[in-house]
Amino acid sequence: MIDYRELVGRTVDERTSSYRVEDTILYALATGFGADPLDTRQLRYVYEDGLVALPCMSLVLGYPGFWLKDPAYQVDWPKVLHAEEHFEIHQALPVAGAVTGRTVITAIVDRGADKGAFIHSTKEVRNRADGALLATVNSTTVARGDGGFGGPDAPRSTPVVLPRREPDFVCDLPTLPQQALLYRLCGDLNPLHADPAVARQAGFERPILHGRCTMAVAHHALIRACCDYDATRLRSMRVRFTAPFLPGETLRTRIWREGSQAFFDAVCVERGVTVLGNGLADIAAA
Amino acid sequence: MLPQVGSRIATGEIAYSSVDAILYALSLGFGDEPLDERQLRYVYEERLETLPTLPLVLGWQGIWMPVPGRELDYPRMLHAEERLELHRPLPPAGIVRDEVHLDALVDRGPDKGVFIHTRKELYSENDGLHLATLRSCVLARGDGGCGSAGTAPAALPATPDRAADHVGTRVTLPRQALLYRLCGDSNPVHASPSTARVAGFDRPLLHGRCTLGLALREVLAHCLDYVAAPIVGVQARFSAPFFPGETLRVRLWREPHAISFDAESVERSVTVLSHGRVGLRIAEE
Repeated sequence: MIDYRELVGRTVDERTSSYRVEDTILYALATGFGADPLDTRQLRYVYEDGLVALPCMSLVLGYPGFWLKDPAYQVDWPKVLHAEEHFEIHQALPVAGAVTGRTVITAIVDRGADKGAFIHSTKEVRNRADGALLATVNSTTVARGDGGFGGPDAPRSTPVVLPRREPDFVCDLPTLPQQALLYRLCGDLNPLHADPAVARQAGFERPILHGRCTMAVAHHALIRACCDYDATRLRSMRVRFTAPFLPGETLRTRIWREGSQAFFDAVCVERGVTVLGNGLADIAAA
Repeated sequence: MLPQVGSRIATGEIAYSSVDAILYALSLGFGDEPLDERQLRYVYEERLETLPTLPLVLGWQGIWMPVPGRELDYPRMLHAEERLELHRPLPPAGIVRDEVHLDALVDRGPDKGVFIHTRKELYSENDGLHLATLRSCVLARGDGGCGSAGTAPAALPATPDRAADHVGTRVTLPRQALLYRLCGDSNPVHASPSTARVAGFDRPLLHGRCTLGLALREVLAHCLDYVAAPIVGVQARFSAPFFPGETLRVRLWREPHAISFDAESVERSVTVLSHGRVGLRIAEE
């Protein structure tokens, strides 16, 4: 059972990771950039000459791995689902370098034995050399098997409400059948995304795409539709994961612009299922 | 200025991980049927096996990678032939050492260029075991007139003069070259449209060695049930450029202890690989 008093405030992971230009390029290719290799606007994310790091790469820098699997946390980890993700960029990410990632549990909310526990954590990504804060990443996971531990209940964070009108942009981006296999190489080696047997045990008929990769495909749609492929204008992004998305499917991102904000959700075109909901991004002026 | 024939032109130590071995397989298109467990052994770290052509991307990448002080006409080089002998399968991760020798120059004159024959030997770093021998031939179109020296390998045998036993056809990804570059050969001609134009192509072309890996995949798929263990060698001639996004059609002939192959671009009906051959281990009685 979760001992929330002991866990809240705890640093679950602190690590330094060095990454190379090749890693930055691999991240972009693994999230679908460069699909048209003659599109020079995309080439800046996948070719070392004039390379720019994508803001969503903050999710994989200093990534703690699947720390909830550690028996120390006494979490029924096969029943854990990724619920929400948010990042904010404070300084443009370098295309190569050394960073530290520090992940802290910020809150645990008990929704009851039938609903589970919501575990909130924050990762700060800093430049190793000068300690400058590059990005803050907030993750929420729902531990479906761990509710009812007697912890405090609290309403879930207020969801972003999407405008009721028709979207201003609709952007369809296909993914590759091997997308999850590629994305794994960016550091999230959870076998759920590669091993058909593990996926079946978890209740899926086949390996699903990483939620963070699906989010990165929507971030590609935002960069295409709202930033004219200048990714540095995307300052923050938040999203709820509402259903699994499978490698090889097409992601349709629907975008509503309101001033410096872009509201969005995303639907799996093949199955008509909303896979990302309550999305909001902040976009700087050109 | 070309180095002396017979000299060692490069050596180094290379550590590679299972991530590198997986990236290599993914960059050849393995894993595009992610539920096929036979392919999964090359792209998933559980029970990971390496592809026989992994030595192509470990260590020294080729005479076409510019070296300070060795001023060659790099943009006008064409990869002509590749012959790999695999002495032992490579582990999914490890440390290897390569030694590269200049074996021969076959000069065709100042207007035609020179064939440069190099040989890369790959050894296991910890026990010194000989892993692979890779003989590469490059046509340096802008460096002819230097004179011939050394002994070039014998000509590659032709493919059979009969209908193919199997034909494997597969569409490649437009981003295939961008992925393959991450395996070590970052020549900009495979990524930059302007560099490709300077070299005389209307767009970035695929690495010849990537095309060779794509053909190997068809050999594995159609003749070997995706089991690479019997493979002891791979060789082919690069007869024309192949472009990312095109469809590769590979013709396969079953022969005693070998699979012969060639490959064409379906869209352009141009043969891009010829004289292809995958050598198979002779089963011990």
